[in-house]
Amino acid sequence: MAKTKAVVVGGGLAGLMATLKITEKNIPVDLISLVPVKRSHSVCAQGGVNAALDTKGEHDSIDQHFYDTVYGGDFLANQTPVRGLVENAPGLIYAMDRMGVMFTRTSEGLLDLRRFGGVKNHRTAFAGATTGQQLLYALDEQVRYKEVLGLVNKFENWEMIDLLIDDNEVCKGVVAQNLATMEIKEFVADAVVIATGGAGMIYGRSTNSIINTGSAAAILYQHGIPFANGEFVQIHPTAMPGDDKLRLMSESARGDGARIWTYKDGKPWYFLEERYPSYGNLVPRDIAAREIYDVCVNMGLGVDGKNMVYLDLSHLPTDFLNKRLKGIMDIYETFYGDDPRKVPMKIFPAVHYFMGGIHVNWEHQTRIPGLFAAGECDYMYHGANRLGANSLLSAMHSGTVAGPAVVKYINGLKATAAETIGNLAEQVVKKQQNEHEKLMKMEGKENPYKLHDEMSDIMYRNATIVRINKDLKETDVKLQEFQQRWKNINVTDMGAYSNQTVMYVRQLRGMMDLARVIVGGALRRDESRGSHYKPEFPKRDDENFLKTTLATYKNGNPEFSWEEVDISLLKPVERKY
Amino acid sequence: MSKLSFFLRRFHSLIALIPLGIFVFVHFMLNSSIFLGNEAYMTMVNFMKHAPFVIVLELVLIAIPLIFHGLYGIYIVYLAKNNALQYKYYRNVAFYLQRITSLIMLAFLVWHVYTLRIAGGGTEDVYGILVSTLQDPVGFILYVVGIVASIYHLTNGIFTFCITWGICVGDRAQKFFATCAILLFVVMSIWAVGILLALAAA
Amino acid sequence: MVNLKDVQYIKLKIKRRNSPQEASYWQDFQIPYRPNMNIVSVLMEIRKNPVTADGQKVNPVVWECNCLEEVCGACTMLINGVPRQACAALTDKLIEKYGDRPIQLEPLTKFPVIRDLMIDRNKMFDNLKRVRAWVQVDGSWTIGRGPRLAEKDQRIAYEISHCMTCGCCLEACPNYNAKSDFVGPNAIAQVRMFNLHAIGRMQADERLEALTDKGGLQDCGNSQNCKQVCPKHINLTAHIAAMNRAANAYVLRSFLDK
Repeated sequence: MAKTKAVVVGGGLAGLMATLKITEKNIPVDLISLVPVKRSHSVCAQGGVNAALDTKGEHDSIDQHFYDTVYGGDFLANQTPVRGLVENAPGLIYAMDRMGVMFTRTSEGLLDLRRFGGVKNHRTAFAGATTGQQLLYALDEQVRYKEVLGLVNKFENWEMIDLLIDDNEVCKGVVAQNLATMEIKEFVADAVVIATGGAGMIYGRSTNSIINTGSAAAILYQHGIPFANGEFVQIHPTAMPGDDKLRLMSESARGDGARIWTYKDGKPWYFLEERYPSYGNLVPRDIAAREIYDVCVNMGLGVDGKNMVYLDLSHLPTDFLNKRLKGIMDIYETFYGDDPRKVPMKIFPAVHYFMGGIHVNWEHQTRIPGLFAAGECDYMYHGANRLGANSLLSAMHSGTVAGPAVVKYINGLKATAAETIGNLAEQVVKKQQNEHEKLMKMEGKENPYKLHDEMSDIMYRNATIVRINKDLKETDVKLQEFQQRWKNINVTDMGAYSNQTVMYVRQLRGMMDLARVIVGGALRRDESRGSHYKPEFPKRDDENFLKTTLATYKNGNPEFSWEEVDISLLKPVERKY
Repeated sequence: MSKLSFFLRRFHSLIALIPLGIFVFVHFMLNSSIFLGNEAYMTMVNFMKHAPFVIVLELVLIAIPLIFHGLYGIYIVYLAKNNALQYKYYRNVAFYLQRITSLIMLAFLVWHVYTLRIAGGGTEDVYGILVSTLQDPVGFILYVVGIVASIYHLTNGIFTFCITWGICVGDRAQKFFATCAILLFVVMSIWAVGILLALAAA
Repeated sequence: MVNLKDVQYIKLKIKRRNSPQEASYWQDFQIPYRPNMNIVSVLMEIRKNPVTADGQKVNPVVWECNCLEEVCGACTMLINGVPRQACAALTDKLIEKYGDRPIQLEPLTKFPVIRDLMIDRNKMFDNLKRVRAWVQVDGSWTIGRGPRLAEKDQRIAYEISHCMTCGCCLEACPNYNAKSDFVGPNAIAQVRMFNLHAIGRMQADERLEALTDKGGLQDCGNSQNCKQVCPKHINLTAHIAAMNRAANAYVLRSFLDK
């Protein structure tokens, strides 16, 4: 058999981990990324990564981690893969430690652990408040070594714009475009891993990075691969309100002792501690976000009458804060001006994470053989609500599942993609070149950035913390209107070189498709579960909705169906904190 | 040899202090004999001129190291793209001054050595040339500028030497050595001007 | 001192270039003043209506940005002559400091320009390869607990591990330029980090070998601009000095040992 090759799209934690696992078996990887992989969105993760290391004398266990994760996700996560996740966690953290992640240490030189939301034990390993950055850099370094060894070819500043799927519905690679020269080129490969993260940009302002448009996931969706649980979008309770971005203020602040409060009757009111005596400030994110929303919007008790409450670290010792939370305090100080060591921070909930994503099997393969998805862009581990510090874990873990699955798949192939692809690659490249020409000639009236603003405004209003069917219906109508208006876009940039606007127009189309998946899923799920909250249906309804939502692309619209959830290990019970 | 540049840079740094830096101190000490009067000064100059192997010592300990330091230094000056006007931080200005003073120093030394060591004849002549140069205001100012620049180059160099050789690492240590270097610069400058004034008054 | 209440427009003067082959040129822009903006949000505002200050319709300005919270390093550019991240450059502070004159944006000068403010910093990643900036583990698989590390070493290394390869230190370094192949302050500091790690230090000599090679740490001229401009406040000068000590010892040791 001729030489095999894999393509990994996305250079965040999941993509780099998959790359590492594939190249360790000597299969070369073409790594395609929108940005230099070291600048991927994983750098923004702050608080830490969960693993039941049990080094604090609390008898923490894998069973407990499993229970907390499934319970925290309101029983919507498939339990067999979650079990794999929590079992792999300790070994994964130790491997990352060996690769040079500068985790915060105890005086004995062990990994220190902190508490996180929805958990009563110390289970979160961390590197100050920049854990995602440190983990990403360690994998970036390992992959750089593989690059030196000739096993990895990086294509940074390239964007995947199409898949190579043959008539037998087998994936044979991708087509990508160079963001500087605008060259469109095929990447023929025996297997493809999509690891392109979440889609926070659908909501405009979020804690996500600019590149998190979800457009790669949208391309899979447009190829008929179902998008699962799209309606489950995590709203992080504590982010800095901002003009351009809602900057995350890590849950680890509360894990390390920060308190949330606002004034009521002229006195500080610690409403989370009062309402949830057992978990206090460390209730899961969906609950904390709803409570802050309730206090500000329904009760009108936000700080200075605005939609903000205090996140207060100022009672904690400065040296302790500097050692553990400097990362977020620096961000707050830079962008707001106040020193959180002295003055309470002002925060409000913000769109943060997509629990839903590309539908995959337990080996992270989509329904198309040879096409895999890993990381935030898949839907696997978090059910209806993700526990803090489980995302870095699931990103890396899914790479350790998808990578070896790719190796197994490739080793089972009888012929390479290069041998069997025929002229598919030329056809798709040609098609995409024509598409690019067409996009470049769009001379309508709509500015794509303004159109995006309009879409994200209505998404923010109607598809975040509180969801009402009438509003969701209206939103879906609006979204279809936006899809029509998209056709009348003006690609303001005439440049033939490094044209960001034309790429953005493509991404916007994908964002609109996924927005409809979110709204349509939310509309059909008449219950409240995890992050999905409908005042009209305030209870969880296991009889009708203990199911995974699947949205499949049919003639430009999402078509919805349901799939049973694997609850083989833990019987669903009511979720109460 | 791929280590060539490392060795050259380190050698360049080392010889600046040993022997050249030490020579400057000795040179200052010997010239301080002017404070004991003209006769003492003349005795010193005479002794130095007729010391055994003086040519060999001058060549090995002064001339060759100096020429190497100067020539390689010019190459280092050429390598930098100075930006002291854009980044007006103290150390960056010092970095720039180190290069400026090196060029002043070079010009000064060529003049100093040529007039007093190469062109100048006997002891009497050298002394005469020196005193008359210093009695001319222009000559005096040129001497002050040349020597103060040289002292700056030396004392700032001592500080960077401490970093280059990994003697001071942390912030506090660097600050301590930087302060010492400034004090040394001030003391040596006063000392040098004192010597020049004494010579001019001779 | 400008009173922000009197400011009507945020004015920008941007150095542009259509492609690497073409010459650069300047264009002025202005947008109505809004409080609490930063350079990225101003550039985003411009692309919604790409018109110059004198009303000429132009292509939107191209720049890199991603995280918008000063951790990815993408949006580094020269802002009023200082290399820094555009997202963390708050317009109100710039106006307070520099007055009402146009804020000047230029691409970094030490790297090839791709278009407008977008640059190619691949050389920085190549330099990380030169100094072997990774821990050489046997593999990523699970083989139990990693080695312990003293907290005091972790504190030093953790500071260095914030380096986001943004290029500010290289931009400000007088010795990093077209005439030299200096690896730069960031790569030297990275070596210190890896050499502190319990497994990483097993390859310490290989990294020191690279650091004493052509373009190695000997090219540092102690201008210390790197430390001044580092957005992550990494004490690069101290790390360079520490590596000087280690490199000198290494060279002496390898001479005496062979």
